Amino acid sequence: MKKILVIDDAATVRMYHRNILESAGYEVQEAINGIEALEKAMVTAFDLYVVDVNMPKLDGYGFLRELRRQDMPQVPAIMVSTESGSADRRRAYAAGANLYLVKPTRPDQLVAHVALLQGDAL
Amino acid sequence: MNDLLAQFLSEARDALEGIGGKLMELERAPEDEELMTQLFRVVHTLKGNSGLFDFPEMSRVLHAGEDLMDAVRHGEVRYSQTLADRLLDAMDFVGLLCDGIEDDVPVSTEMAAEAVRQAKGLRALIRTDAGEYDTLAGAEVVEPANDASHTLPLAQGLARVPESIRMQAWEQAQTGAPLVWVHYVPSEECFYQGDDPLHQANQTPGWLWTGMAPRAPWPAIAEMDAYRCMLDFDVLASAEVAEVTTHYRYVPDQIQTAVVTPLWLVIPQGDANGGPVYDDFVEDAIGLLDGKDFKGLGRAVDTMLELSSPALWLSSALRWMQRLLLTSAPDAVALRRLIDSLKTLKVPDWSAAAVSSAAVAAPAKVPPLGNVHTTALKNVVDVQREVLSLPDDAAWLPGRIKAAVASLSGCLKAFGRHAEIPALEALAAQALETQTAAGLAQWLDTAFPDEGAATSEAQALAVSVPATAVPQQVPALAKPVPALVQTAQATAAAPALSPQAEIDREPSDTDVPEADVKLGRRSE
Repeated sequence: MKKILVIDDAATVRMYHRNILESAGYEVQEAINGIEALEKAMVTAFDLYVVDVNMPKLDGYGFLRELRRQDMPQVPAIMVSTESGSADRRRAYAAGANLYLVKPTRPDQLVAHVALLQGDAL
Repeated sequence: MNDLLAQFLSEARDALEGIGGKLMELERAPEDEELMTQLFRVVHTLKGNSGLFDFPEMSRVLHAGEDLMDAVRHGEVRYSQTLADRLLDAMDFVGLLCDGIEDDVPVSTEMAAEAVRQAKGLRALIRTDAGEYDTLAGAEVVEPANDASHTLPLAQGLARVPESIRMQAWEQAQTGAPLVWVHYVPSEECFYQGDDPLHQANQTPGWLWTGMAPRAPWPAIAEMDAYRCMLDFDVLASAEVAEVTTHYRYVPDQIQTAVVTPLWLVIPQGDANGGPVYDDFVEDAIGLLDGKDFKGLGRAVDTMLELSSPALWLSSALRWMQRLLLTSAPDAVALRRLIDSLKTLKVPDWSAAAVSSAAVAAPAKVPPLGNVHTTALKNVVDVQREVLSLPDDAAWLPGRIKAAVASLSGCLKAFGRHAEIPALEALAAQALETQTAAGLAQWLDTAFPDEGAATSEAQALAVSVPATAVPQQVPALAKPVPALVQTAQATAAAPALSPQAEIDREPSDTDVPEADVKLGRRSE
């Protein structure tokens, strides 16, 4: 079963994403900030990351930069944010996000994007 | 109550308690920036959580609170006891809303009005303290006109919409699709609040057309502030009002909406050609109409149209008559008004109560919008196109290329196009060696020719289709929760510097090029 790490400081959002992704057949782990996410990424080979932007300690941009610096570009990352500005999106791509979705992510759309990035048969 | 809602309420109560505590701490240390940031973050998280559900009153107050705290942490508004009291009041109100949710009590009219009052109170603090940072651009808070008794004046801007788009909207309405007009007045400071108003407008569910106009006469170039939004937006969309208000849920007091009656689209325009001189045609047409000979009238209209220059007002009216005649039950009253208009070359008054017809009847269903996977593919491809077109930066380019290739490889696999993967990987190797992504970008256009510019259908699907596969644990939402999938085609809403009085945007494969946009401070 493919593993996805959901990174968000809001427990409600983590649960929301977990429910959606588990229902779609993925195994989900959670992290509450970028630091914890990096620690988990060191010990578990995740297939995809769903990353919030604003988090304490290490935000989503910082997490992605560090992830990419550690030569893990092939693991897709979807950044989710409440901000819809084009500058925010470009900043996410520059940091290494493969996709940028605005919260709240709709269940079918999130699953469709995850499946595409995973190469899962549609 | 499902688990997710219980989690939300539990986290909301913790957050409200945290906000109260941090405000008390700030009383002792009003200059503590870290504390300000923490306070902002809690309000921001709470607002984000509320956006997962259909709690517009809560989102409205929390969005205002977030904007206020954003202004405070950036030094634009001074922290004060009044501010703390107002914020505490607002959070108490949010607590009451939580109680209502917990007890499954619908939000009363009084509570909805109180939400407006609370949000207005918070925003007033931004205004009065910052002075120049007038969040509402001097405008009174206007309630969304969703259920206004009549909203034709708001939609009179329809005359600005090109005829081809209005006809497209008309066709959609005939299939039962709802039509809505949105008047959007973004905050002048919206660029600092992480908003992108043009993108927001163009991503309106069921988007058909966006028009922009300066809200006041342009100042002299030297006095112009490029980082303020000075434009108002009008949008025509094929969507339910509820979908639109969900889309604009973080800026509810910046929009007005009007349900568009299809006949309002019937606005003949063009060259008067010296004035009304079509008496013979008018007489014949009325005779055919009175005899209910719609086929004969259709032939007469077709013939007249063939004889007339397409640029004439007459031709425009005839084209609309064709549209009306194509409906299953042609509306004789509307046709009569249109024929009569040829005598005066004045647009018929469609607001009159006498107009009652099938064309006016409220549409019953939303048309199907397409395949969620196709839209997702389009978004992923669009994003990779944008990622690959970012300025070449030696430090980041290899990672960017690998990430884009991994994404595209996934897309090919997902659609069973395994045979194309070796070619993609070869190009990737070449791109890494030559340190340029140009070849990959070219391949992208060839491999995914249909995933070019964002279409209105794709945008509509991305934001408005009710969830079809909502997992058990996800609450059933009263309104569809949009996934505002961002496409690389989205245009930046840099303040328009052109003195052009109005810039109307039609659906097109070529979008306005992105201008350089200042990073919103919130995202820093």
